[in-house]
Amino acid sequence: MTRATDIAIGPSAGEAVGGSRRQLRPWRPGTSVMVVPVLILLGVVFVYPTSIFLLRAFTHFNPPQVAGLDNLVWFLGDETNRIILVRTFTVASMCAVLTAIVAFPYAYCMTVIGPRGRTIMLGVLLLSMFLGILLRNFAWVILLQYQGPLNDILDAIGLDRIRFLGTAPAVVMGMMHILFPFMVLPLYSVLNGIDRRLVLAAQSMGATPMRAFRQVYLPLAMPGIIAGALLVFVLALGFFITPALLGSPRQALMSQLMFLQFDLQAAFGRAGAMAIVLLIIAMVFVILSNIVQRRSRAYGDAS
Amino acid sequence: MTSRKASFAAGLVVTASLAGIVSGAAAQSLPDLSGQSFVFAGFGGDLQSNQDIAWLQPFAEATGVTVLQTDAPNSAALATQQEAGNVTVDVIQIEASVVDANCGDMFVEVEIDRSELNSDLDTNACGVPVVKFSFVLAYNASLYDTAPTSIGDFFNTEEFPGVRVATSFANAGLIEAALLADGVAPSDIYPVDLDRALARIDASQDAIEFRDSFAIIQDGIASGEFDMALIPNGRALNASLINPDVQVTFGNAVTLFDNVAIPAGAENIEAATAFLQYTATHSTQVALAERFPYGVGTVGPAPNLSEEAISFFPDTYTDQLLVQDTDWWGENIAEVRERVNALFAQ
Amino acid sequence: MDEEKPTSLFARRLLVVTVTLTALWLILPLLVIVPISFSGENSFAFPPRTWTLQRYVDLAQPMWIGALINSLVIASLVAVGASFLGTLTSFAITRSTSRLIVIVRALVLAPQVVPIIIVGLGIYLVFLRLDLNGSYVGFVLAHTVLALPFVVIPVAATLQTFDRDLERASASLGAGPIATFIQVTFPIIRPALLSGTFLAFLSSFDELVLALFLQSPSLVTLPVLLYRRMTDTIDPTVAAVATIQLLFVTTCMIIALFLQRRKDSNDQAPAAET
Repeated sequence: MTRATDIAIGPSAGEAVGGSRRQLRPWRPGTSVMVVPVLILLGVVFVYPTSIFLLRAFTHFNPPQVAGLDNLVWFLGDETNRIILVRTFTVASMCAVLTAIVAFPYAYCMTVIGPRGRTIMLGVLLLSMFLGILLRNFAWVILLQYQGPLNDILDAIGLDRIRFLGTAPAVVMGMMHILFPFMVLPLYSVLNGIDRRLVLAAQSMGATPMRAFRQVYLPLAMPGIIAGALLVFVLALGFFITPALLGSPRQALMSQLMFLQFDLQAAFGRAGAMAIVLLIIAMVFVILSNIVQRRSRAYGDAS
Repeated sequence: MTSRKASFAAGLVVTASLAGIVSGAAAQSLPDLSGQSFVFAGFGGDLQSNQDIAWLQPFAEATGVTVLQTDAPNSAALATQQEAGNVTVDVIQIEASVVDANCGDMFVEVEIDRSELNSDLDTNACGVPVVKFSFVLAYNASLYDTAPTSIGDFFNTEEFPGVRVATSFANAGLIEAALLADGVAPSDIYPVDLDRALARIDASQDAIEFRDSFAIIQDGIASGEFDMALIPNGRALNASLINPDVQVTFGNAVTLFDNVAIPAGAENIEAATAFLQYTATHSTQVALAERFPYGVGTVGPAPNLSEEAISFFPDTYTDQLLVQDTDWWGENIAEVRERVNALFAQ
Repeated sequence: MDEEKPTSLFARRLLVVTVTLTALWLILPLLVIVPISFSGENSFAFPPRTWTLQRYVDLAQPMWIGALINSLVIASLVAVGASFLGTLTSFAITRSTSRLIVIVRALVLAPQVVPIIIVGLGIYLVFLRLDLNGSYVGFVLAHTVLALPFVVIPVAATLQTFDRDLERASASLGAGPIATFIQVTFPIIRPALLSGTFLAFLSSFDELVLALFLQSPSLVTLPVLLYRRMTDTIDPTVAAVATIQLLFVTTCMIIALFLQRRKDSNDQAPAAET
């Protein structure tokens, strides 16, 4: 029925809002009261700090910014800043697209393989996840060094050594490695729910396996793939450690610049302005992902 | 013979007793701080681990105080702490130019015995001059037939091709090196023509890799990841110990020194002041210099360095060094930082 | 099984190759860390120029043990807090009749989606003023907020598909709400709760960005120490920690696999006999 992914991004179709209206019950304080402790925690630790940080964009100024929208104007008006914004966007989208391309076969295989194989595939995934972001990035730092093992292999084949570290592709690779499980697990969930009898039905009507796959299975899978890719995109926007370890100050992303402004120059207003821009972009894509998921439930559910 | 031996022996006795008096005096001035603690914020890496052995542990043993260590926040981060009324460090090691410019407001003035300090370096009433170091040009000597002679050669990609690495920090020798490479005479470097320096850096950006950690650069130059690096002399020594091909030039090496100072709002002022007094003695500073070849801020007999350390020690090259103009940097560091960040972010 | 047409066979082979390459891409990079843990120099050069076991011995130093204990304590508290609060919240989200519950759901999931640097910078300033930086309390509060979704997502999903008739039946048989919860509802959500709690623990144990902001000279967590020892200093002991973690996780997984197989064969055996 409803899967983890539905809860993951947005309200499930009708359940929390429309569906419950049918069961007209007297208002019991029970369930809603349960929410109070969490709201207090979230309010104090998340909503309040984040809000006043964002508000500083309009209240804290380092010269030459002085008042009002100056910080936002500084960020959006400066060419260097726009380059960084575009670069962040590009890196995140490359990461999302590539992760989707690599995750789809993996997730698909998990649906068709036997239970033992699936456990192994899952195990590989979890092994990677449980090492944590820092140590996985560390592995890539060692791997991608100019005098490191990957370059040693290139050298042995007869190719030139490549400077991987400090470039955007290295950052993309690091992000992919970390975000891969975030894409595979929900995608596997979605693919599992696709009724394979539809594909078999298409084949029995004369379609080749390839065609049945392309014209029946893929369209059903697409919303899940898109939703997963959008999630990866939003997560990649916020990455901080990976660009710091695998990138370079010269290929700075938004999170690095935000930190620099905050830490080296105490320019909270500017950092806040950057946070507003980044947050708006993230929200837009989260909403997009929600819409895609809701549409998929309306049309494609086969359970 | 006998008389020489006798006078030699007498000399030894005199020296020993003098040393006894000096260290005894230092020891006598150390208060009993048992039960107290303070936080020392240094520059991390090998410098701080050597400071731990040469300064912090002996001080803790002699006074009974507990020393906690951390990495020093930069001046903006420190200001943030002070604004919030929550300063977490008691003694901070920071560039002297910063303390010069902010003594009295960001840093606390201290009443200590300054008699052993080098008056050229004792420039403010808040900090104790320590750790005189130089940004040198380290290079992989196996790649070049002729050696570079000035840190300006960092930008000289024709005579010295290869990949260079530097940090993107504002005050790390890059600005001065760029001006030298652009033809400015060492005596004309200050006040710095920032536009000219940044233009020169911009022109060579493609040949330069940037990494914001001296430790990573040190490892990189030792392992062949990079061919040339602009780093503090102590880091260069470490790299050279791992890979003897790593050599340095001190030509026009930008030389500056740090202060240990007490930030306003620090909690453990008594312990911090006692520590500052402790570092204001020659024997203490020499103890560090002999472990890690950074110059001292005090006057007295030169430290006893190993062979390798001597060739990485700034005072060995006094004539070649480019002593940094701390006044200029004190006033302009914020602007340099902004423009450097803007340049490198592209 | 449908007919094996040639294209289907090719597609199948292609899938296996792709998946195998992907699995290798996931695991092989992690293995380069292991040799570094034996490096005798303070360098990350691969392969190491000199070899030693000293790094593993160094792990017994107070610096590392202290950081490990801090991380374990904080992560445990976070796991407990997140599982408790997360379960409460899941119930509220799935069963509340209020329209505003949608907002609660979004709020609970928001910390995962908002770029962590924004969350971190905001928390840093507020906690600095409240003097919560460098305290267990501060860490636990901040990490719990990040860990909640790991519990809420699976538990809410389970509750969503949960047949409420079971609860009504239990009530009609005379059990009070607490007894119903313990004997009917809880066993059903237990797998989701356990896995969610475990993920919450892990997320706190590995968390670095907020920990960098919340650290103090007297409170350093393991990820922060690892980060410092790979950027501020070059310390191959970091690789030793990573190797131990790898071994630990692999062992746990093998055990889990083994237990799973025994459970499967036990489940099948009685059926085979009948």
